[in-house]
Amino acid sequence: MSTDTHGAAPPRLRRSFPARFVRNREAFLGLVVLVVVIGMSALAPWLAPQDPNLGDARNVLAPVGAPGHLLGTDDQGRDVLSRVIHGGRGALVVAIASVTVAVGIGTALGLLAAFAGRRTSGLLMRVVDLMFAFPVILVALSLAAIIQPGAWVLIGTVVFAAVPYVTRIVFAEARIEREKDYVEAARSLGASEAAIVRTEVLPNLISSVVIYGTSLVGVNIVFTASLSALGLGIQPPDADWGRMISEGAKVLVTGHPGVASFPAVAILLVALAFNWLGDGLRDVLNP
Amino acid sequence: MTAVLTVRDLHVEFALPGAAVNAVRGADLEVDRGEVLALVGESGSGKSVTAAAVLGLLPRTARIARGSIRFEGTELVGLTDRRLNTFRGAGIGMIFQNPVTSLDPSFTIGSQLGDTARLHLRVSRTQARDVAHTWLDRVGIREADRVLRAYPHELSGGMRQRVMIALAGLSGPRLLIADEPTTALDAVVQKQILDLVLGLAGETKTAVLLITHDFGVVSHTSSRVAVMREGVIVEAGSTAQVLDAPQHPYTRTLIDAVPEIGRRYPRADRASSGDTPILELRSVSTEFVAGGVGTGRHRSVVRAVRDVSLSVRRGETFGLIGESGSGKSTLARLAGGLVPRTSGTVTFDGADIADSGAHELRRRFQYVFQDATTALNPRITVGEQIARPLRRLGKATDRGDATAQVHRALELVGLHPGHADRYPREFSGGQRQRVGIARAIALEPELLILDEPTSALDVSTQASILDLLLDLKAELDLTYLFIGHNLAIIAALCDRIGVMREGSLVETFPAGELFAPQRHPDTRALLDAVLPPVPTRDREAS
Repeated sequence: MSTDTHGAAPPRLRRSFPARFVRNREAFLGLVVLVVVIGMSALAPWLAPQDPNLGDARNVLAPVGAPGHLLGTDDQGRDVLSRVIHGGRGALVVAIASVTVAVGIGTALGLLAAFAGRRTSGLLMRVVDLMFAFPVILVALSLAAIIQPGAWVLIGTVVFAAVPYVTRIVFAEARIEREKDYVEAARSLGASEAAIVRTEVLPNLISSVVIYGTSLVGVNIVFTASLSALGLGIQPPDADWGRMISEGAKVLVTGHPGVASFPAVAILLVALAFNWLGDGLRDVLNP
Repeated sequence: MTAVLTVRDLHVEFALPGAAVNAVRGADLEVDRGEVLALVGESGSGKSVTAAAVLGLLPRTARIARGSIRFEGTELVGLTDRRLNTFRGAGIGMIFQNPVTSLDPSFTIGSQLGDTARLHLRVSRTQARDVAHTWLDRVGIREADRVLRAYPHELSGGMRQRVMIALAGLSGPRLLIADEPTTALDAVVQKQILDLVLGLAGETKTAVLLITHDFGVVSHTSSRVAVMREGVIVEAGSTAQVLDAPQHPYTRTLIDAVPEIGRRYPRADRASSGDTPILELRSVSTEFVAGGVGTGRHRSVVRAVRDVSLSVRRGETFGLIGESGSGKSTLARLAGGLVPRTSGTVTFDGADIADSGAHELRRRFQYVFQDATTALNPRITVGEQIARPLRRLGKATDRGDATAQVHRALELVGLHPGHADRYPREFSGGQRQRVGIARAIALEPELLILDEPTSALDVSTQASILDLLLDLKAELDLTYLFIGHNLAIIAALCDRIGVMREGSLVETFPAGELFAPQRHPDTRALLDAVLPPVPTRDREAS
């Protein structure tokens, strides 16, 4: 027997997951940015130099670098830096929480549709098609009419918008996995259908779901900011990046670009970081 | 006569992170007009890299470090892609191992052949179609009109490889490189394809560089042979001479690894089989429904297995053989209840498999699948994959017990217990198949169905896996149902043989009566398809 390998186990061919992650610049940079932003948001009450909601009527629209206001003040005299530091809290929690829920629901639905009979699967996927076709802004408006505009409207809207995408992706991948030999092998080894879905197929989908979910968070930070800017999300006077952009836009033309630009840069940075992390994870998880 | 292809002192290097691997280290080859040179070696020996270097198709990480490749006197090393393109196709044609992936799935055969004809022969669209038609006739495709309109997925593996040969031959190359052209095909089709390549080469005096790992193929086709190992050519000479008196021990190993018809494995006869049947199939049939509402195709019923009756006795090795598509794999899955049967009964150890508990049945009745690469879950460690069924079927009482049993199973198949926490991609093809076997035998089954367990492997790896299977059978008191398409292997291992064709079992006979005159013509066809590693014909180039 030429391939006998008794004796010491031969060396591993691959680096461990953390080692590969750190070597992947994109993923690592994304993670660093996110850790900094999330840390800043969590510690906002201690980090922010001033109360974000404390207006100073004598000092409105102070320029960038004004004494005591590093990034200036807005049209009510509130410190822009403090508001940017506070403004991520709502957006991040909403985007991460709602995408997590959407990924959970979408994965379950996708797997169910892929492994159920023809009829169940057809019904599920047609419902998903309907959800695709439904205007998301209408969902947000209806939700805002039913419950008070606020974080819950944002969460509900993002979940509704993201579930069909996740379901489609999981469904398509699970259908491919279902036909692979290892599923049949598991069946021949006595695994029930539920066990096959949970313990055999799911581990093969995790990486794509995590990658997709990460990018979804980035997209939805932007999306929830737009909803807040429309007045459907986080309500004034609480600081929120989307809200700050819409308020800052009013004074943009009068020569005060800072009020809208700084929260916009924050959104851009976080969205980019999530996408970098997603792309990087794809390379790390699927070499 | 000047050689069509001359390779001198070729060195190819792969730059991997942190290390350079020398895949080819000083290869010398020469192929003359109208000659077939076989380049033989195991996977990883550097033979495919050599062929890729000739065509300038090396992957990005590889480069030619040293040496020269001359095609009809022109040096190819160092030429730009643009200049090389004038030789590709028109001068040097290539047939790849896997016709599934080397034909473009989104274009019809007609348009792929037509494009090549227009590019190389500079003919009009209608002329190109005629050329394509003529070539399909030449490669032995009878319904050329239908095939021209077909997409690759509509054709069988053999048909696709014929199309590949037409595609390579159409531009009239002076050198044809065939990289394991028949490894993905069954034995009967393999012989047809090899004869086709030989015929074309003979007619047009094309030089052929045939890459293979099988000395059976070598002796059937080539006039000269070069044996490659770890990037070095260890032996070269005329086929007859190398086969008769191999100089290098490695050549000897490769020749011995090819199972010869009529040569029993010495240990295959050791175990005695009883008369009690362990698995009995009584007139079983199964049908698949293809198409129907919502698929855009007409509903059609395919009868994959037709009225098969068969009994496997405890302790024996029963061989089931047939061409691909004959229904043998479906029959195996049907026996274990993995595919539903339309009619008939299957009993395991006296009880109908539908009545006996699934747990009980699965524990005593196991499978080893053809391709361990796909039959192992890529995202789960092999130890966990072996341990799971042990816990599930109540073979192991707790985690510690399961781990101990996993280690024992890995040792039984010749792997290290330390391999348990690895993922399947960290193993070679042969090792993966060992893991597949370990997973099945860890349950200590009584009946093991082996569905072409070696057809995805090299000849030499195949020999070691077959040895392992024989050892395990004696050690664990197993009964085997061995499915294959190579009669030489089946005849060497099995006690009784069943031959399948188009879903029916045409005959069953003891292995010793393989050459008896009353054998069915289908059995004879399989017998003819075996390529023994003996110089049957003298193909010395004149």
